[in-house]
Amino acid sequence: MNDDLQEHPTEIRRALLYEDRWASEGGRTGIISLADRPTARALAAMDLFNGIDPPLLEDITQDVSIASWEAGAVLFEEGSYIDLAFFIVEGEVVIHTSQAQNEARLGTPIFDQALVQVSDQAQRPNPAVSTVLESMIVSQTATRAPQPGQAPFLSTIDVDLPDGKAMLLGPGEIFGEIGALNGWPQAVTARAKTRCKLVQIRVPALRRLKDDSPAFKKRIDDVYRERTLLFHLRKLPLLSSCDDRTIQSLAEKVDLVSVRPGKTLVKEGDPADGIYLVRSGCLRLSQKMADGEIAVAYLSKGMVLGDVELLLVQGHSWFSTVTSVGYSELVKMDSDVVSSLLAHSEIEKHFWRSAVDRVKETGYSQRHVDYAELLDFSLNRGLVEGNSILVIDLDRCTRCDDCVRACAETHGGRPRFVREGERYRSHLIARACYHCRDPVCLIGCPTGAIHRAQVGDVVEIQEDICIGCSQCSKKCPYDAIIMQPTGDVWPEDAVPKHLRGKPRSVASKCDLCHTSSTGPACVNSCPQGCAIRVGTMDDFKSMLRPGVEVSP
Amino acid sequence: MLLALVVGCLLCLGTYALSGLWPRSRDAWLLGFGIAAAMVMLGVGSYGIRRRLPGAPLGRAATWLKVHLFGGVLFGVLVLMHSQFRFPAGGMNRVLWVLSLWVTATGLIGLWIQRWIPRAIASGLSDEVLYDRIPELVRSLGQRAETFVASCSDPIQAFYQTNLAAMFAAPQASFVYYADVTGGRHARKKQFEYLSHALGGEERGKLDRLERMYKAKLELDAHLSLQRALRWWLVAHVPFSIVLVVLVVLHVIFVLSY
Repeated sequence: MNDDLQEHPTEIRRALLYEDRWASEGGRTGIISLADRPTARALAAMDLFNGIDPPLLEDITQDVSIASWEAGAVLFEEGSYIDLAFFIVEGEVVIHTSQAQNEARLGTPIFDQALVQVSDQAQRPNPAVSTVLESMIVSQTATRAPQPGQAPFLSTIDVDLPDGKAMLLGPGEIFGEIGALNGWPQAVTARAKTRCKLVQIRVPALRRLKDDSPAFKKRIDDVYRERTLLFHLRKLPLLSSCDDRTIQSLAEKVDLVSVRPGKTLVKEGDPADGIYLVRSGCLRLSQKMADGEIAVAYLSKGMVLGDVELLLVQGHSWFSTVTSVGYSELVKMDSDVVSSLLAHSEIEKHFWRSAVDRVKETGYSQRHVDYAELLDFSLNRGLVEGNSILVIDLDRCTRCDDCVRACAETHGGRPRFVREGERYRSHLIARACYHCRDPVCLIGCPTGAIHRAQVGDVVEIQEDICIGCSQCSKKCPYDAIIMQPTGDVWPEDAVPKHLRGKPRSVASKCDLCHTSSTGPACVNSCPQGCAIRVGTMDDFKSMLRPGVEVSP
Repeated sequence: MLLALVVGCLLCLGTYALSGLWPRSRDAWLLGFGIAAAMVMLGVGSYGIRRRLPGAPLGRAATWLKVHLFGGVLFGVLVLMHSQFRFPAGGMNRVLWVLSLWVTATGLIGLWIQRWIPRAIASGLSDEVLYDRIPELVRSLGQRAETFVASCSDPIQAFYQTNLAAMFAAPQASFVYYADVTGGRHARKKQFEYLSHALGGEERGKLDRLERMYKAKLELDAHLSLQRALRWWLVAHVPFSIVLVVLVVLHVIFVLSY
């Protein structure tokens, strides 16, 4: 089987490997035996769960399984999104990168995933998909400047591999958790070197354990410090003027902070005790206004919190209240650590730039309450997550549905979006894929049918290997993935077996018409020019100001 | 856009005025205006083909629509110049003249409708509804209202049967919504207010809920009425345009033949 697999491209290999990838036994998965929902007692006997309260263990058993994998089995591949971490009980696992990709990424000191893809794209042009749209998106993304307050930070790499480009992991090691918890694609391929016994922990259980067990959190954090943190700090432009010894000493001093949705990280007016770098997630910054408070800015992956307080605010008190919108992971540097860093003039300049941008944005929100309202709406509806959101100006839309017809025409008669959705004033946020910066729909796709296309930020579904499990559709927070029946039934040799003879449906979503030379059909076909694609808060801001053209 | 339109029309009228300075060549000028009108009409009419080829690399539909609008007005002006601003003689010519002005006028009315109604919907109605789904949504709302009212006290049931049941039964388009997009919601609330005073706390809450359903129904009816206008004006424009194209082609053939 392995020889066959070597001949197939990645997606096909994924399809061949599929049989409930991490959740059922079978020759194709490489799982020899599987125990779902192990008892709390069985878990307590393992080193990983030592000292964890039995009730907590009882709660998480539904999201834990113990699997025996055969030697040589691929546990996951580089670039895949998975929603579980692996703990090795017995055996050895080797993790490695493909060298070319590794070099391309290691040489890219950036955190923004879109920019990483541009870098890959630039080095591996794909003549088969050379379209006007592609060049447009690539050029737009390549020239995209960091957003206000955004210090490029943290690449998508979650393992800092040594020069040998491979790492051998043995009993007691945990892996995959950084990608799973942060929603990042896996930076490596993991393969069982010997027959292995692995505990597989899904994200809900990982989060519970991190939140409720300090010992488990410490263990996960230690792994991050050991494998990734140093690499991330070295690649941080903020610290580019620091020598390796300074960075190593810094890595020992930072704290890793996790914040649950809705929890307040810092309160306006409280003493500021350091700066935070956002590893993942999204946070709302709000300030008091009259008897209430308004949203003034937001932070997402790669941004810095605390620069304004450090440089501008008398007495170093927090300038805003900061609340986590989703699960957020941050790196915290204490004030004394930051003060020592300010001795480097480059670092100080960097902080000043970022602080000025934040103050500008905050001031703008305070003066324009409609922008604050838009910010709140965007944070609550996840618009800040999107790279390309279909917005329809209802003041001009004649409800002709040419956009929907054009979409259907371009996609074999099945439209990929619905002209319904949330309204913000006179703008409709259509139910179409946002092409999110951290697409949760990619997590857990058993065949890899839903993936990032090699064009800009496009997320697409490869229908021929979609098995209609609806994982992506259920995960999409914006109802933008529709399960559509194809009219066929699964053939008698279909894998997995339980599908055989059943009606076939496939997941369907907007692909930005990325293979078309005319760009998104919905935008191109709108006679009133009221369907536009929006990617940043600045685009939304422009929409609110009459007379400002927003490029589609 | 308006400036370009005015400049275009002035140019045509200027050319027309100048043509009067050379009477002997006047027929040639009139023929020229006729040829120009026919060419512009074909260009303007190709917008319909563009709409039916949404995936084709033919440029943005918005640009095509602008050309369609400018061209449409220009066509009307050219036809008037071709006919020397007079009602022409001959049955065919008269039909062509009337049709040309009808199509131009309905196009302009359509443009006005397309500017007015979307703004009315966006500013006056709280939800966006797909036109084709309105009957289904009304049916579902009606069923929910029936079920809900069955759990209410007798006064509410009687009130529902007398005042609301017929309204919930089917979508109801009305001209009222063109004058007031809310359908006179504030005035209609009065009937609920009077009954509300007579009810106790729990039943009053139920009446509030029924009122919210009523408001939703009014919105659906408003969508039906207004979106219908956005669709139906085309009936007055497109079929006549097609007939016009056919007749103009025949007109050209006759002119060339005789």
